[in-house]
Amino acid sequence: MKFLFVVILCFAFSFGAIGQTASNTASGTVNIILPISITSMGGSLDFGEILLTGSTMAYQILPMQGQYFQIMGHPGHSISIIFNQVNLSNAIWVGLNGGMVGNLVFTPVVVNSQNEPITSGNFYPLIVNGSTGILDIRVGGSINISVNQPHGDYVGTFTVSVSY
Amino acid sequence: MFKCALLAYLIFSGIILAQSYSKVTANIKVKLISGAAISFVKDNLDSNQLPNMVLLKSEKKESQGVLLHFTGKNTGDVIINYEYLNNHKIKSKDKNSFEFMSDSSFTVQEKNCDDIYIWIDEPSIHTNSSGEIYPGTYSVSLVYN
Repeated sequence: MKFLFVVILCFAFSFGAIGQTASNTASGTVNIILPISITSMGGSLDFGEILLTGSTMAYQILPMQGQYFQIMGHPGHSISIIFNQVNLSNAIWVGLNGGMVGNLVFTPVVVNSQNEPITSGNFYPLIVNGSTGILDIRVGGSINISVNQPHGDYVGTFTVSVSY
Repeated sequence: MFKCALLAYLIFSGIILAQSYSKVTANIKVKLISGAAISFVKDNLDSNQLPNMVLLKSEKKESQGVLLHFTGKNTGDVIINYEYLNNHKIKSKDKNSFEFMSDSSFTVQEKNCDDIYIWIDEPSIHTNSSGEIYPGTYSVSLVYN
């Protein structure tokens, strides 16, 4: 079917080139949208070592002290940013060292470079920077440690996706 | 057929879309260290906890010891530090009593993950060269490697 389409398309263009003898002009525009990309530029989402005290504890990484991403794409074009909570687990550590498996929930906090909040699912314009559009975002977040939280190394993967 | 039609539509409508989606991931890490680390069985001491260090302060005026206990499991070496190097003695309270010198370290192992009681022998801590009780502040810190 693709081949047939290409043949028809070529035929149409060749027919126009051969059969048309009078001069003619036409104008048109094509908007080429730059590809979108998101890249980690530095920082981390490492909470470090936390000493369990047998009490509930809340810890956070401020976005400006967390991980830094840069989104590039078409200048002025709006993009959707999507991210979610992440379940952290110490299962790998327990598999190596023994103990009880536990979970933590990482609740992300995302802001732009002006420290203004970014909400998952919303659209944000790429800031014009010459011929490209750029949006810097910074990610932090919080965890809540329960009274009987098992010890160990908890890991998880935070994913942020962007689209036109 | 649909793809061809979509391509033709985009070409003739003057829009060419490039890659319209991208994503990136980041690792999240949290290291939870077991144990209340240190707590007080007697006396009311102030504690100031840092991620891997526990600092205790006492302001005692009576010649009584201060009983502390801490728990740990697979926490590795613990370095214990305290002030007044030449005068202080810290002992474990059980029958296998032994003294800790300042800056000494010991290992908290799986097999003895129960509470470890430490008796801070206050008379030796809180007396000055004249044998008078020293009413000042002393501190004990435990550093987890």
